[in-house]
Amino acid sequence: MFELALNSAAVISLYLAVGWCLKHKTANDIDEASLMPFADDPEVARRVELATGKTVNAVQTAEPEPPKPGWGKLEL
Amino acid sequence: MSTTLNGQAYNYKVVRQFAIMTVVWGVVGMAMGVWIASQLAWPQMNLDLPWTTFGRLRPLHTSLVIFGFAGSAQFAASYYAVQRTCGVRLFSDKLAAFTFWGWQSVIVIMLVTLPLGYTTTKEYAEIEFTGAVWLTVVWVAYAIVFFTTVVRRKSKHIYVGNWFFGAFILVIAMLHVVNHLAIPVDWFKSYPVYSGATDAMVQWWYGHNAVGFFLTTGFLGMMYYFVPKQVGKPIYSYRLSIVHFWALITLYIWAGPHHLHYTALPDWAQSLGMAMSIILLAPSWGGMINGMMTLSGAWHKLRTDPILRFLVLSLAFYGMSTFEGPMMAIKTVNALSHYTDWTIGHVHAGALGWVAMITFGALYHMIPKIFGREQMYSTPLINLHFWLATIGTVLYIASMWVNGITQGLMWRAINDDGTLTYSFVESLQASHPGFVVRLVGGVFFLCGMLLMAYNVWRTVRVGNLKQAELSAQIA
Repeated sequence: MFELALNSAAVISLYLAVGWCLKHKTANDIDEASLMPFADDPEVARRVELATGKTVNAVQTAEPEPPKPGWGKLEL
Repeated sequence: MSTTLNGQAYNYKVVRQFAIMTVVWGVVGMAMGVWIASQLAWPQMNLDLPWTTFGRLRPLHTSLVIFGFAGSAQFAASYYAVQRTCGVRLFSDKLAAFTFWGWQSVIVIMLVTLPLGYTTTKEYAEIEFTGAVWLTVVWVAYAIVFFTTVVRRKSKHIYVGNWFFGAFILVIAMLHVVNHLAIPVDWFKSYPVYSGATDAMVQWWYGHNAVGFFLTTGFLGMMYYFVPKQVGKPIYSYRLSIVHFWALITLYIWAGPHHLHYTALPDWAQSLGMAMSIILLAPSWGGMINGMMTLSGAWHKLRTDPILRFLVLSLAFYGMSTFEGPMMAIKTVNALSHYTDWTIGHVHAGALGWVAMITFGALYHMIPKIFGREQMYSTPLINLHFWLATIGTVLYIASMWVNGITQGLMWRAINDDGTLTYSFVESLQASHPGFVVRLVGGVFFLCGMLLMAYNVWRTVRVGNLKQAELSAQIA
């Protein structure tokens, strides 16, 4: 009986832990979480967006700044 | 998409350092493995010197590949992934640098003391008390760097890969400290506070979880970051990854007693270990299927991408060895397999097939990025490495299966009058061809590792650190 109670407690704890992690998470939140590895990689993020139709948020890019008005390009 | 920069960059220096040392310790540790494999086939390879005997070099081999190769790989991957998924620079450059130099010094301590014969005699925990205390200090620094980075993250959610890295760091700290509790008698000798069956149980609680947390959980963190990244698709089911996490860390910790079947350990503890090991199949395969299914609709990429091949094959070997493990934990199967080469084959299915292969995939993905290159120096060399590693692993585990079952059957064969049919030496003679095939498998695997070292060297030599720093800018 004691073993049965312990086993049940273990299964309930697992269920509660998973439930706690997923509480207040909408399908959109879960999607966004799964896209986190691509959030700082613009090139891959664009391919992922094309492949999955989902939007990858907060993508950074290393594209150069556009030249300021009146400034030329200096070739050395 | 936001395209602004905030002027802060990821700390790639420490990632670069750990990535390079992963390759270095991989070459040294695997070469040591090939050497001791040759000793089992030809005992003359012990060289009649105390420092080069199998008994001293075997713990050195396991320490170098586990702590040097796999440990450095996890430092590199966790530091790389945690920064990129949290969108912040690693906490404290100085403390991160301390973890690098501190960890390398731990490996050097092992490299010097184990051949000299300083050992606790506990498997995978041979480093003596003073070294173990130093390892704890470095590990605490690692925990501070990792968790503080997570706390300072920009995103609200913590990516699941970081959960696995976090569990790996916390549980290894607990296991290491509890198993190393000892009374030191001088700088290089100590005695454990446990004795008898308790000592054995604590050791195998540690030993099995060294596999479960040092060689599995951290690498699953690696899988959850690098597989989606290389495939170019999010993980198959994020919900499943959360179930996978909680189920794995809840169950793994109970499976240790299966290493002590038919010993002085109480029978109920052996049965508990067996039952938990069988249940462990479910989360292990859940994670494996989650990784594999990420390739749905992208399987064609395997034709052209050898890095992805490494990652997928590692998952296949993970699935295979996590099926084999629970089977071997069943007491009746264990009665045949225990103390035979089958166990060695099982460990290497996980170590070569899972740990090393996913590390190779992650490193080939990461190294061009952290050294400012488009790609590795040679893709055909990665492909050749893949086939050498695959053939080597298959030769290794197949020879050990044959040897293990042969040994198990010969040891328990009895005549009508109850005497043993075979002597131990006869089973050793029957195992000799398997020892040679295992050595050949190891040589294949080592050759692949040497090719990787050459490929990395050629890539790093023309590395463009300015470009790497530019691409390390944080949004």
